[in-house]
Amino acid sequence: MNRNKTYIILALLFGLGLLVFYPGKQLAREHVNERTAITDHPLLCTSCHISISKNKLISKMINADYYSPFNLAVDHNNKWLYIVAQDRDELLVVDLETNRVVKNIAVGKHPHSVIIDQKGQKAYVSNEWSDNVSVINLDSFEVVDTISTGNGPAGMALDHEEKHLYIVNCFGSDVSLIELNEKKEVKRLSTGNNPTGIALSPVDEELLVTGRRANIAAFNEPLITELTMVNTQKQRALKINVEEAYLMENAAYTPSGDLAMFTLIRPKNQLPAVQVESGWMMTHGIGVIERNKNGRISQFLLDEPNAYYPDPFDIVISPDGKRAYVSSSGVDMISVIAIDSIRKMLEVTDPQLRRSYANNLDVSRNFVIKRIRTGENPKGMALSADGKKLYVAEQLNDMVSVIDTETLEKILSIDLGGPIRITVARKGRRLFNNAGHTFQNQYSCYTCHPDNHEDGLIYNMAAKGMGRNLTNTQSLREIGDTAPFKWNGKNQTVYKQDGMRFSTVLTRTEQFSYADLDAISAYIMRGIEQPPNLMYNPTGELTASQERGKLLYERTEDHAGNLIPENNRCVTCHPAPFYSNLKLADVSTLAVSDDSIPFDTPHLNNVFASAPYLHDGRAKTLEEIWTIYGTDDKHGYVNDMSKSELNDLVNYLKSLRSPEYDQEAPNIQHGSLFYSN
Amino acid sequence: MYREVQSFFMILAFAMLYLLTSCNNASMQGHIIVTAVDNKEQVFEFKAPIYKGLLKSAKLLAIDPKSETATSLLLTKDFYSACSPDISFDARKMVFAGQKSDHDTWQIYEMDLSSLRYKQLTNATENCTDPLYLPGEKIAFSKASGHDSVFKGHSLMVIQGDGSQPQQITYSPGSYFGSTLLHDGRIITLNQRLASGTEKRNLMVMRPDGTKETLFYQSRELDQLIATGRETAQGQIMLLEKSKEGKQNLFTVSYNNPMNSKKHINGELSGEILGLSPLINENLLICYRANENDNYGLYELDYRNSGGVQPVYTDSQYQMLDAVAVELRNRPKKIPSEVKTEEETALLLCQDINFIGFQTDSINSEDQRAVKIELLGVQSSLGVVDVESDGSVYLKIKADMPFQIQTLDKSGNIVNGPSSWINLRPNERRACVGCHQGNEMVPENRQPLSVLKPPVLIPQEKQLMAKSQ
Repeated sequence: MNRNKTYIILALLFGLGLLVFYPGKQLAREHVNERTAITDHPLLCTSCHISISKNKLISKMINADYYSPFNLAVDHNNKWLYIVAQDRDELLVVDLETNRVVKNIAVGKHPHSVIIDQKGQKAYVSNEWSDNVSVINLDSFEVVDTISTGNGPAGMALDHEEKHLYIVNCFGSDVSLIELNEKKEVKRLSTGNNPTGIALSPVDEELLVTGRRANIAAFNEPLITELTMVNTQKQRALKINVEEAYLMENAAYTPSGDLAMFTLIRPKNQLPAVQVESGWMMTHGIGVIERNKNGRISQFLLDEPNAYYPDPFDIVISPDGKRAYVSSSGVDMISVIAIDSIRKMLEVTDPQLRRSYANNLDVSRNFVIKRIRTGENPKGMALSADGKKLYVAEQLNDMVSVIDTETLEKILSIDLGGPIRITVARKGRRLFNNAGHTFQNQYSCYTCHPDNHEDGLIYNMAAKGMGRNLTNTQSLREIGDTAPFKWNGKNQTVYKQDGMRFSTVLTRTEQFSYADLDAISAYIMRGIEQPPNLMYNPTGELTASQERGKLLYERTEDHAGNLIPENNRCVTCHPAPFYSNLKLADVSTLAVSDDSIPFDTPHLNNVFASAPYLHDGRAKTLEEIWTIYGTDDKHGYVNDMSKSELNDLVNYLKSLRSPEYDQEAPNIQHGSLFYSN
Repeated sequence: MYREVQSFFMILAFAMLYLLTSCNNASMQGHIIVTAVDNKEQVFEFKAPIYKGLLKSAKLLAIDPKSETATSLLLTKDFYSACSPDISFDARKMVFAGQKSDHDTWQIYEMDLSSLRYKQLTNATENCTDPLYLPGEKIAFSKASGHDSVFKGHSLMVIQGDGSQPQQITYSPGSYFGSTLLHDGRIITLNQRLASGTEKRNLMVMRPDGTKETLFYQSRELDQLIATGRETAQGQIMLLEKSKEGKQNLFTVSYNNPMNSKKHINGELSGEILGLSPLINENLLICYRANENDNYGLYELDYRNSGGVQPVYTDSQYQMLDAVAVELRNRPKKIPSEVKTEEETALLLCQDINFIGFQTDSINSEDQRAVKIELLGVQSSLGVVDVESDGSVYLKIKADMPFQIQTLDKSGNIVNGPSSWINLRPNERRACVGCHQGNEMVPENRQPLSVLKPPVLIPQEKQLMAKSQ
């Protein structure tokens, strides 16, 4: 081939390339602009087509199996550390002489907590998504028993004689009392809403159980979340109101038993969300119960005027009762609290001054003596028996931090041996759980979407005028294929949802970089799994009532034999697998304070766990959607139903579970494209 | 074909060589830029109680502190006077205020620190000074504004990096100057209310679009803030203040809680400080003299450990007034703006006008409760508004119009106020817990009754005001 021919061929190829490249690039640009609602997102096909791919092979290639340590326990001889690896469904055993994992013990699904007995012979692991507890022999490191519990077992406590095991059931909102000789549940006591934490008083007569979700109430009614005190002798439960706080994750007693302390968040959902400054969106702190003063409760903020410590998770108290340690998951910090300083502040006689602590960003300097930085997303903590070492589970770092409690410095990181590479979805999960992307770190995505779900609150997002357009927080579980997003359906993708406008009206700080936006979108779209609906549909076999409800849900004629208009049938707008047709609709639920818009039809997977209902949360229960707010039959035709039939319909709705059960191929993936570490 | 390939690689090699060479010339990192004058009289002008800031025949010098024969390089030889340098986050550029000749208006200039080429960014009719790099290729500066007794002072302006789209972001009477940037992206700036008849200076904080302006730090009654240093990586802000006895206090406040974290860092210093600027190594660069007979020189203060002070550079020819190191630093956050210049109004919500911080029942008795608020403009009242039973009030206010608030009881007597000047930017939505709140109190989680109605428009029509009263 002579030189001229070579040039001609090269020129032709170049010309062909230009022909393909320019229109192709233009089309790609238009496509990306449409998905992101901006004009300068990099044209990187892998951003979406790999990271959020549902292809099984791609999913497998880009996934990584992280441990995600959640809670932990240390034995009384400081020899062994037991760590719940939530994403691997394992209990990890670490030899504290070598600081290495020596055993991985398979337990139930999505384990939550671990406790060990006094002699270090048995460990109990609560399996939140299996509704049972694994009993592990610590000599052989084998599961020797499995005990059935209520729904969503989480925190646990052994009584001092170790005859009974108390298990908090977070989905069922109750406590199971297990007789350990018989290994059977002998009693179940009702608690506040969505509890996870439990603490036993030093003299064994009282259990404190936390509550996470607030009681459902109208928007302008005071926010109240219930703690539960269980009298262990009488086995009676007493609920205690905690005002203006929720997400009380964990609790601890001082060794003398004079104080019980718990973590909390104080949301500002009833205020128009017009700024972040001055704690206008969220504040975070602890609650203190004075047991010698009739259980008087005071609240203290851990935050400071320009710095917030969001998502307080665990609290542990030193054996001498002088210090408390609180893990702030949203900023990767441990706050060290001088308990005597708290006691001194509680001596104030003026009740108004004592109440003002709960809204005062300046009080933490009186009792927080140190903030210690940890790895990503510190969750559960445990103190060694002598109180000299504090172990912190770093959920999104696959490490355990060891802190010297004399110097208050981190002295060691125990590597649990998880993948070194950080996938895009893992990076997204870190971003989701970290408050670094809100002004002054005031809240993370997790704050309003705990457990990747929703917090059950109604917010005044004040999109146009203050006091208008109230918004019920929506769950983020398995929403990847349920576009559009937002109640008004204005965001056609998660990229748009979390893009520029998100930073202008919500986080009020620098927007996500495009790499971060890709990562958090990948995590939200494909990395979040629905828990199994063991409460209302454990096997897939519907009850008789649910079967009757299903027929009503799918019916085409009313009781008089008249055809129900197609757009007024439940199943038309709420078809499987998401139980949403993903379209906008007017179901006659607009409030006077709403702009005149149709609403995005919400998906109904695990809808039982998402009270309150409707776009502004005005319906406290599924029933109220029709008995109070649907009497005009525009939100489905239901008014010919008897009370019993409505119950059947509601029972069927409560049986709806993850879309994977109604799809041919499951979609979920926990990680995605390799991202450089 | 071989020859073409050879040519291609040769061109590539030259291009890489050029890039590497240009990188080597790219910056003056490690140098210190100093504002200096050559006679002592001008120092008094620099220290003037009411800010002038613009000095006669001041020079910007570059000093390499690591050089054994440290000499200064004059950067502004084309200028009659220059001062107030700020270094870009990548340490490649510098903005400063300059005056080409004695009678020129001071303008803002930008200099490339590798080529020393400069360009004029402003073409203002009033003096401009104290430029400050903002994230997002923008620059803030102070500009002399107005000539009447109320508005005379300096407002803050923001321009694009090329000098275009000048926007005034402060409108309240008084002067804003000596600005610096927090890591969260907000500007902190010294503010002197000239109309108040005092020389009191507060340190205010605001977003770079002028929204959410609020108090950041306030000196005790008779102390006077003189200078502000940039926030350190550890979240400390250096401040210099003068007591009524004339004693200088060098101290830090923490970003987290500036009102209640004052720590004195004078250390071994016994003389007088003029300018201060923290270094990346967390030491503090100061312009200082130990004795009255000395010239002001450049020193490094190890305020965290020994408190010792080490000379960096002194010159018998110059008085060093202010200094800043050419160092790479983390870019603060780029905060999105809520300002829409096409809008004419802004919204203000006060949760409870009777909330003045912690209070007892007796203070909050029914007779002393305020039931109205009055908004006072510069010239006249802008309106009186009834508040809701929960003490809340919701207003739609003309933007960029400074006002003060006072609360009134049912008889129209003043309960509290007037407040300091407030200004809202177009489309800004601001909320406050109460009147004269400290920065530390956060709101109760309670829906204000006032937001259930449309906002009250301010300024009100005159007849409406009469009816309200």
